[in-house]
Amino acid sequence: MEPISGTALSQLRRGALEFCILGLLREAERYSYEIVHALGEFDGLVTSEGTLYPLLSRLRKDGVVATRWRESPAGPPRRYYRLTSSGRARLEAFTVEWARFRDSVDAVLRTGGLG
Amino acid sequence: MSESNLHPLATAHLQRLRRASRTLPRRERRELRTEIEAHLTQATTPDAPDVEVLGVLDRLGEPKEIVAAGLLTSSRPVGARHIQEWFAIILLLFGAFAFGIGWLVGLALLWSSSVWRTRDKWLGTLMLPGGFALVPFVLGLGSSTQSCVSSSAGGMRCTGGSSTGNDILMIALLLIAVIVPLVSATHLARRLR
Repeated sequence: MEPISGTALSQLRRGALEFCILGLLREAERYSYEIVHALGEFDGLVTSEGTLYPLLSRLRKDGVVATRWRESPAGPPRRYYRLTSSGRARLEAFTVEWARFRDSVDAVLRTGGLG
Repeated sequence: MSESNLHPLATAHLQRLRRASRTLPRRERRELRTEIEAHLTQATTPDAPDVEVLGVLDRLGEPKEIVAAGLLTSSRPVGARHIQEWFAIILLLFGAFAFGIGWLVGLALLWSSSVWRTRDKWLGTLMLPGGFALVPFVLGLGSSTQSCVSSSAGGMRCTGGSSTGNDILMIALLLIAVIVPLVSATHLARRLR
């Protein structure tokens, strides 16, 4: 199989990952390691778990997630992330757009654009 | 949290991260190190087999790779020169000499900057408002402590003037007027690194 351009794939991955993080927080707050570990479980989604921490930091600065520290049952306190209303709106908008984008790309790849 | 509670391979990884992350702004560097250290604490144990820890480190990624991701999302672009911030510092120190307007402009630049934290901004504002403008004021105060009046006999009678107590007070005030703005400006400048 011909390898895919690393740059193209990493840009696509980077763009989608922040919404995957928001998606993980849709129902409940999670702490950073939990988020990173959960995303790492999905095949092909994350190449280096460590690169997700700067992304989490940026999402916090952008105001799409909020954080709070909570004691952990064992070990140091944990930083918990939750969606803000702005983050929830961004996630909902992306979910709709992503479905359209994915369906269109699938259609073109499957049929070669011949309907 | 202590590195001594980590597996030696995890500790070595953290040390490499510490070296690689020097290019990040201080706050982001500290946050990244804390997160990675917490990750390693949760994902490994001090006595875990090497092969298990290596697997964790492999999934975590090389420190350079993690730092590169940090630079991509950093609030400070690589090589940022902070022109606005340096102008703010200069105006906070010397701007008051321009009828006070310059200091106010410096204040506006200070508070509109996204680089400094609110605590730094308060420090820049409250640590001797007016910057070095207080220096000539203190010097003027020193020369005006001596007052002379004409006597009826045609001579001059002076009161106040130089005394050891006054001199010490003036020197102390002068030092404060010079050192406090300098310390404040140095703190703001260090935050730009």
